[in-house]
Amino acid sequence: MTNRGHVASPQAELDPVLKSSARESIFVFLVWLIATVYSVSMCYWLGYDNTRPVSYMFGVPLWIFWGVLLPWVVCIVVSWWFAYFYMTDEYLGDQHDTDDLV
Amino acid sequence: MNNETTSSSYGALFALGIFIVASVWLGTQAQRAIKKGSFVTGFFIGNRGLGAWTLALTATVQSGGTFMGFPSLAYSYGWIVALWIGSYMVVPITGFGILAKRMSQLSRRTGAITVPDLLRERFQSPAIGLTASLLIMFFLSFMLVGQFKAGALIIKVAWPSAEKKVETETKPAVNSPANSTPVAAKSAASDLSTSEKDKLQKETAKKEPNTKPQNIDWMFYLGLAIFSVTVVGYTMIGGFLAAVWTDLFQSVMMIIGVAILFALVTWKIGSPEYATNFAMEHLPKPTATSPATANPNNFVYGPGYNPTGREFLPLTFAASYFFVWIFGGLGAPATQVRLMACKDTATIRRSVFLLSVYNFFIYFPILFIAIAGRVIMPDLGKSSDEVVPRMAIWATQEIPLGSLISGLILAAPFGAVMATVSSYMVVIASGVVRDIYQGFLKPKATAQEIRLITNICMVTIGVIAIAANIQPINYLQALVVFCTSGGAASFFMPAMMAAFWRRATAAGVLASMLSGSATTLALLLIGIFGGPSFDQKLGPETAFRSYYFLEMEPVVWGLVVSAICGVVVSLLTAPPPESHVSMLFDKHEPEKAVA
Repeated sequence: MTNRGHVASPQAELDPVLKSSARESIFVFLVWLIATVYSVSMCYWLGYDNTRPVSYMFGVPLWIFWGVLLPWVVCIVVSWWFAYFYMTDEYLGDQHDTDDLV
Repeated sequence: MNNETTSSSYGALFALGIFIVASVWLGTQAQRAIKKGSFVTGFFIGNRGLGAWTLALTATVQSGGTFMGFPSLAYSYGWIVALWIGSYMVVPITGFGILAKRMSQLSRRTGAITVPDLLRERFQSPAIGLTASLLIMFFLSFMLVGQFKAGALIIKVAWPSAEKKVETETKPAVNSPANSTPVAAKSAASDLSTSEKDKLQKETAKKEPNTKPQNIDWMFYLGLAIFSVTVVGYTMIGGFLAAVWTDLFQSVMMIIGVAILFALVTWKIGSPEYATNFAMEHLPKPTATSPATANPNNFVYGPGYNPTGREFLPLTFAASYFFVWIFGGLGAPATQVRLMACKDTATIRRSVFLLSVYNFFIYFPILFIAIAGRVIMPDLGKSSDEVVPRMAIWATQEIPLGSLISGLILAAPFGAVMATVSSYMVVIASGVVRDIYQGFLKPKATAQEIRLITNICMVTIGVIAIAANIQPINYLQALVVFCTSGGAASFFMPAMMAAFWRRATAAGVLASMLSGSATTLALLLIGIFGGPSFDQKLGPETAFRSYYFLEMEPVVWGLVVSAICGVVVSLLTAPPPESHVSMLFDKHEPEKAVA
């Protein structure tokens, strides 16, 4: 591999894409963890006892509403906020013609 | 069946034919676009020009599983499948928010156009590139086999003579609901006396359509042939761009098709609540010796309904699906190559939100359609993979231009399957060409030679997939899950190490890849060949099942083993050259700016 059109800075400063990407990854992992713990716990609490009478909200079983549908909507909102207010734009680099590898 | 129904079914086939022609046309347009740049970059990565809509709607995992495998499970086990698929709520943010920027940047800096390319250049190891290619081919082959089955089934159901079968099979269960207005249907259903309901159940039980020896299913093989020729053809013509453009076109068709079908099913049957209650009332009554899962309430509650006692989704198993779909999406080579092909970071950001909304409006309606399928066709048995296509035919039977609309709806699952197959074929072919042919056999191959090898590779994939479907498996979702799990266990940790860990070494990544894939594969082999003592009565009822250690999907153990091996072996081996790592991890200025 060659250094395709780039030269290193005199001081070894971390790449800004790497820094922002790492920061955003930590946030995303937290979102995943919270969604998993909430959803599985709520579904277990409300949805694994078949002796309960079946009840519904907006046409879906109540436990699906609280355990899957509602957090799904919340995740859409979080995704919107993440995409438009948290994730930063960075320069990814130029495209290099790959045929020279052939 | 009257003439009107027969002729209208040709309309469905006609609409599906138009869809196929449009997909092939897009393939030819993609070929023109490729000619504007270099062949390799254009054919395998689309000149890195994917926009937000394209990336969002093509980079993740809608496939035949979405429209056939997943509804099949919902049809069989009930609402518990909502939890099984629930992790899709975070698939967009994880899929684009963790690796997208770095994969895209690293692929530009190294000039990589495939995942094995990227790993090979990042770790300066041809062995890693070759291993990655072989693992991709292995796991994606399973996925392709399942997708070819799905494509064949859709054409089979859309074929005129197949519609007769749908109509016949649905009649006893539908009774009055399918053939009357929604109000009348509800009234008729609720007016059934207990004796009538019992009689209905007995008739349904007597049919047992899938336990009898079956003749050769020529319609299935015809569908398989048509599907194979079409999808192999347009992918050979247009490569990556053909896969992506048709994928985008097909994703739009998917949302339209699902919306129409959801509206029709709601109009004909009523609310999900009504459909659920109706389905529960008509499930066989449990006896004193019946297992707990045979309780009709399990059609609503966990671990899911099953008359034989199989627990579809106990809690730990449910939790493990929050690993399967998340890390499966992240580790999937077909996803990663799209991340590498995206235009810029604004594209990635917009894709997060677009896909979040898209997924929501795909999965919940499909779930309801499958639940409603239990009302209309309670005896699909081992044909439950066909529930959505059959519902499309049923829902449009008595409306003006119904068969054309059914064709439009069928285009949704068909599009999902075609999109998956085409993108996976490109990934496999690129691995063969870059890492085997160019890497070992002919490094100085010309573009013409590469094109020839690519075409041979794609035709071979098609032939193998056809051969593997001569005896198709039950529950194609089992193949989808295994492929997803295998990809996650093999490639997620290596991708993370490549993107974020300077100290990661070639040996460490190789160990991570091999140990993750070996763990997943070993658990599958134990499940298949271990005999009855290793059948834990979990998950879908299929012979293609893994051994679920501690009632968790193999992907969990694959990821754990892959992470441990990757870290330990990296720390035990010499660090990579700092000059090389610096080029990929430190800030660099473009030459022109420095000059």
